[in-house]
Amino acid sequence: MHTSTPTITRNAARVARTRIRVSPGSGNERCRVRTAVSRSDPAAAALRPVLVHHDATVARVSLVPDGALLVAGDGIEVDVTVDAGAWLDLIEPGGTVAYDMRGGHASWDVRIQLGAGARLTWAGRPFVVSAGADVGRSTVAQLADGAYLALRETVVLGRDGEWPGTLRQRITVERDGHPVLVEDLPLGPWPTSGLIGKHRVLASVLCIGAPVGADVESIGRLDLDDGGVMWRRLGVQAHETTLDTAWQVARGAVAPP
Amino acid sequence: MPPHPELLLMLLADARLPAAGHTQSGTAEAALAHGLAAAELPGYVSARLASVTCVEAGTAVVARAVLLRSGGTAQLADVAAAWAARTPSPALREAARVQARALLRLADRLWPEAGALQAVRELIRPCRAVVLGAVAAHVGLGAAALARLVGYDDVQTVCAAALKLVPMDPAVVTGWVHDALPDIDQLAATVAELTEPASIPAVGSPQIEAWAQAHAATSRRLFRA
Repeated sequence: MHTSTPTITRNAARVARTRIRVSPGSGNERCRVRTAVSRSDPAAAALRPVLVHHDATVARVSLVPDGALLVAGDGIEVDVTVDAGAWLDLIEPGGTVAYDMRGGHASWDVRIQLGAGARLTWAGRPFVVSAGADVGRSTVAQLADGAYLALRETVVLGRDGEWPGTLRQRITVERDGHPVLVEDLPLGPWPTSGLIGKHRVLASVLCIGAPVGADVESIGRLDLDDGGVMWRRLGVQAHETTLDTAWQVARGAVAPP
Repeated sequence: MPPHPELLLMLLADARLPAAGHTQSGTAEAALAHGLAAAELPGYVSARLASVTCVEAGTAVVARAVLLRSGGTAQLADVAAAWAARTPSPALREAARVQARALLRLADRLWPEAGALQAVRELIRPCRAVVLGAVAAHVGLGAAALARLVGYDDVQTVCAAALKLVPMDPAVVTGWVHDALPDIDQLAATVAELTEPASIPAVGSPQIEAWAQAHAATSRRLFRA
């Protein structure tokens, strides 16, 4: 069955693609990490992958913004591949702010491919959509049977005291070609956007492939139909809407024993 | 001569249909309990039509299309899986499956010969939208009419439940239903042409999902969901 949600085409003026691929090392060798950044324009801002640590078990990579992110015309693409048996731990040094785009738009597209027994833990930091920003943000994760994914995301609509910007956020998670989670959230300053009620912060933690006990961390917990758990929290202040415990649970479940 | 499709549509949209509709509030009971004001219900209805109800309507339309091109249980299971992946709240999935059971029991009685319903019966815990799609495929209800049925039923469910929860003038509430009709038509236009599981809309509502989860966990409630 074909279930992929196509990536939104935004015709960004400047595209910067970051590629990260982690493969297991042979024997007790450190795992192998390949990274590349390509830009359609030398001036394009990009996410620079910085290898923080790697050993036989894990590669820890930090996604460091190189240039001012995110402004009108930016197209950020991140392709992450973890091969069978490897573990990539992605971190971000700080949050991202999408600035007023004055009629323009920007995109942020992530593609994740995980082989059998591959592990990805990605502790995303807050993504702030300022007043006047217009961002298409997509995540497409394709997992082989037996892959593990822990993903944390927080979106904040508007900086403190500001009108919300416009965000169309889509996520598709498939395991072995079957849909596990498909969600499209068009959020913005329009009055009928009751999708997140009277809140401006939406925090999510996703845990796929690793068992989580039925009575563990029940607050905001949504058990998905095809296995996996998503925790959700809505709030007004980013620092009060963090899902820290759920993230510890998800990350702990996905990290190797 | 088979009955006119308009009459079948009236039958299916009727609140007196014994298909567990009276146990549902479209999460309005939870919304009102968690601070939504009655005056905000028209906006609530429109948020539903743009999100969870759009998923339901799209699922029903695609289930109908799959059965009309002679898909069987395996193809219908793909539709049900697409719906489940777009419905992250276990409380909303459970409510849809309980309603599916009641509707399927009724449909078995009304149309025992329906091949479309046989494919549904072989599914493990089908959802309501898939059963409605199968009924539409059997009785000859068109895709747009089916989508309008899903949208209209949702609006009436919320508004009728609200009348039992908050003292209001029923004529005012019927006015809300009337004012939502253009939104229902827009929903039908959005989904009527869909034929593939992957094309089913996936607009979620984290707020409605959170309310639905809270409602499932409370014992102080009038409506099941």
